Amino acid sequence: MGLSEVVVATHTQHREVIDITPERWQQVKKVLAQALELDTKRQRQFLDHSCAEDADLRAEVDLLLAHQVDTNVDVMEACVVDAARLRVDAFTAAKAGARIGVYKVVREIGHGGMGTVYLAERDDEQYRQQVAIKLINPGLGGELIRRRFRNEMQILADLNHPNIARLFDGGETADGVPYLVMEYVAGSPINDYCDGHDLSIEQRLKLFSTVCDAVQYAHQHLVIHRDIKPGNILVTSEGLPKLVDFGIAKLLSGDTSTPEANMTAMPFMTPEYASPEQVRGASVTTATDVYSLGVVLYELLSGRSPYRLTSRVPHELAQAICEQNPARPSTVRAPKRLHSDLDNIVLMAMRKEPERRYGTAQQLAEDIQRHLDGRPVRARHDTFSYRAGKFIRRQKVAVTAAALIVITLLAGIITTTWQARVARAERARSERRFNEVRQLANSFVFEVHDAIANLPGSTAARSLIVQRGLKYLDSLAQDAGNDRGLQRELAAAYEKLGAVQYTPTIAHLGDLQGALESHRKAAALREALVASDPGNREYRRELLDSYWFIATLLGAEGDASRELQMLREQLPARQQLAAAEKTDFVDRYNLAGTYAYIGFLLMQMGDVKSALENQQEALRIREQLAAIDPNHARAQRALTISYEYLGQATDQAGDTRGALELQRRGLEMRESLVAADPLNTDLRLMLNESHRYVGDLLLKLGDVEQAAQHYRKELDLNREMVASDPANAQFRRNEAVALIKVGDVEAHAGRTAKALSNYNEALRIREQLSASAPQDVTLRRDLAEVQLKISTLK
Amino acid sequence: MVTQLLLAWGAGDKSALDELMPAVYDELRRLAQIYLSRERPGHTLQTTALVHEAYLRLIDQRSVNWQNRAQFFGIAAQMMRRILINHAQERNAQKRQGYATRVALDDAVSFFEKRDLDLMALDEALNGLAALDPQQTQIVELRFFGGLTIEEVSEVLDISPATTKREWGSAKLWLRRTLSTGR
Repeated sequence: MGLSEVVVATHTQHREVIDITPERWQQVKKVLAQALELDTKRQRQFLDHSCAEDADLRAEVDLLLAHQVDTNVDVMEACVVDAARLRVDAFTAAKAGARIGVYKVVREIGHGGMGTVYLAERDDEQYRQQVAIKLINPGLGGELIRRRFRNEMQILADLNHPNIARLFDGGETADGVPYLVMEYVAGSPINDYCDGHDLSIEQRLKLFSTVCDAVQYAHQHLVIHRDIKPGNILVTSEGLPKLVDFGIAKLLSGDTSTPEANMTAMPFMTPEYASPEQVRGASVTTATDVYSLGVVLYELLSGRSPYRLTSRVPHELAQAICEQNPARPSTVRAPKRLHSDLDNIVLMAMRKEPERRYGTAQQLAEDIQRHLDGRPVRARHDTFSYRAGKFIRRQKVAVTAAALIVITLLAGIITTTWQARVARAERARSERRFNEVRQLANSFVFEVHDAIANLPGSTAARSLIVQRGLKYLDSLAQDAGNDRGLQRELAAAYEKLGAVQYTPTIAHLGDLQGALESHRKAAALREALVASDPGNREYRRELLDSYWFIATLLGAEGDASRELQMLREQLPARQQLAAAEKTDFVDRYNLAGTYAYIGFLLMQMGDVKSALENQQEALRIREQLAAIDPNHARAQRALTISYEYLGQATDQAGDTRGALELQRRGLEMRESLVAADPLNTDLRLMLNESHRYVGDLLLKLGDVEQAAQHYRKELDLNREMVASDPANAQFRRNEAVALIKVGDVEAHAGRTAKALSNYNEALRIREQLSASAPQDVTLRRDLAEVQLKISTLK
Repeated sequence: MVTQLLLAWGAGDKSALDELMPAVYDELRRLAQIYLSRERPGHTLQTTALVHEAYLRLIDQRSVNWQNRAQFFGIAAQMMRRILINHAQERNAQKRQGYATRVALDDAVSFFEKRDLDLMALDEALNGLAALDPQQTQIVELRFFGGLTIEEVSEVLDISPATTKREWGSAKLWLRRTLSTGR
């Protein structure tokens, strides 16, 4: 019977075949197994021979063979692979004596989610070499890992440093399990070593600096460790620290920016040492290692982990790592005292934002050395970070930024002809040139830069454009001597450069020190301008702008008290400007903004009383401004913000009713502002927020039904916005928040069904939002929040 | 309690698994709720990890003397099979389960369906195979529901990898044929 006939016959024959006895199946299986080893032609010969006296057997075997499929399309194999990928393997994979490549396993020495590490030896006749072999959990495996191994292995094998364990080799076992052969380090984790040898703080610091040097070396070779933790820093009995597993995490998890890789890796990672960007699934840089080094140092100095991680649930861990501020090491260490410099060093390495940490591992080591030498360290106490972000966004400092393209083009256009010493006959031409270059340079710094604002990924290009323009303006200014116009342009260019270097609310280079320097240069130029022409209001105004920038940057650097002090110092100059001419809007507007910002900072610092005073002063000025011209949109908008902030401060001070009164006033104003300008998204968002604030305060006062009305209104308004722009994620986020608020009050009032329907709608929205940005931890947390509400209600 | 049940199962008391299942379900439901936030459609076989984790949480590993991996993976794979089949049945019967569990398991079941695999039919076919060859059935369970490699299966069952591979190969053919004939 030929094969094709068998297939056709399947439907009529299956009864008999399936009803075979176990004994018969053993027989069939045996022939089948042998046949499967052969190619088609030899298979037939084999079957002709072995089933010569049993036609039924032949038929059964043929029938089964007809169901053979290629491994690539084998659904069952695919299912196995998928099942393997995510399984939790609680057991080791190799036994003593087993062979891996040319090595023989001696014993297991380590075990983790990523695989198991064995001590093994190469038992060639010539020499015996002990190595560590890491067998990668097959559940993580697959072709992807294999490909990555091939790509990365050489780079890692080239790392040659006395404090880095060498990677010798890698490959796959007969079963396709990837493995790595590494230098075997007989040592203990650095924390155990330090405690076991009772090392002093100074000894610990020195040992740790050596580790930093090794990390720096690897970074210079473009390798990031990604998984620095005490268990990966082994110290030998001679006191030599060795980093193991350099770059291995990348081999295993590959592109950690994919949510899959991240989620898969999360349960296996040691979360205590993972950086915020790692748990968020953002890109990993050398700053990631600096962070983990910081955590290790924290432990070495304080004897404790910086985070109180009580949960193993990924999103809760992520939240802790991204949001918890670790206590200063000196406050958790007993009984010995730690120098506050060390607190600052550790916490600077561990800052949440990669760009605010030490730029390199070397800088971290250098700061430790400074401390050991008794010199002042670079790290400073960090208290405020970006808390001012929302405020700044709203209040002022509308420093646009962004850029790209055209650099080369423009660089080509601007030639240096103007530099040439020109003959008298060429003067006219050279003056024309001079003005052209000046125009172009300004166009660089302002028009080009602003025109291509907000393009993603353009920060570096923006910086280049601004710097180039600045350079030309600077040369022109030198050529032109005391040209005030040029000095002023130059100051403005420095201001722009500073904004590109560092502005909390927009994309920036993260170069805080550079930004401070730029703004200080601008301030120096402007101080000279003010001195040369004290009556010029523009000059004075711009100088105050520079001071404002410097103050906020000091705040971003963590020095809130200096920020506050500088802002307060500005007040007399601002008052003077504002008083000189009652009708000059911008000066009084800025004065009010300064009061409001000071109030905001004071509230952050917990000084509610002073916060209230400043917010009241801001409100007073803004009420005047709004009264002068009821049609002045900016003034009206600023006034509503003052109601909002003063409302919050009042609530903070314990006066809920007073706060409600203020928020209601803000709400009413925003309603009329929106009525006058119904397409203004900014105002509409602010109005929706007002409904929420009022609702929250009413709820606090126990007026559930009135609160519900405001929440429903907020929901309706948000829905209108979603309807007008369904693709806008922020609108949909707001809609979900409003749905939950309404759901909360329904639940509060015992209307479970209504509450559930609101929650479920919010759930759908958040599911969609999270699915479209899977690596966004906040969205996932939002999703979990509503899920929790639903399950609690059920 | 759970540990004792496990020990009983290890000692050959097969009904111990029946008593274990409700506890595993409870734990599973709890875990599913927690994990759901990071689940996405298509991420189906996280369910395997979920079941393993539920199970690991239930047992006090220190008090169970694990002779080898067979016990662990044997139970885990069987549990996985039962959970998925139960779910497929209950879904067909429109029974109500906890929201999170349902979502997690729906994912897993629909995953098989997407691959054109009828779980119920597979279960039935496996029962048929069990009558013919219990060890082959175990191999399929360990591979299919436990995600073990050939090498691991052979270690668990203490047979050679070559044998495992052969047995897996012929078992697959038998199953595929049985499924395709629609019995």
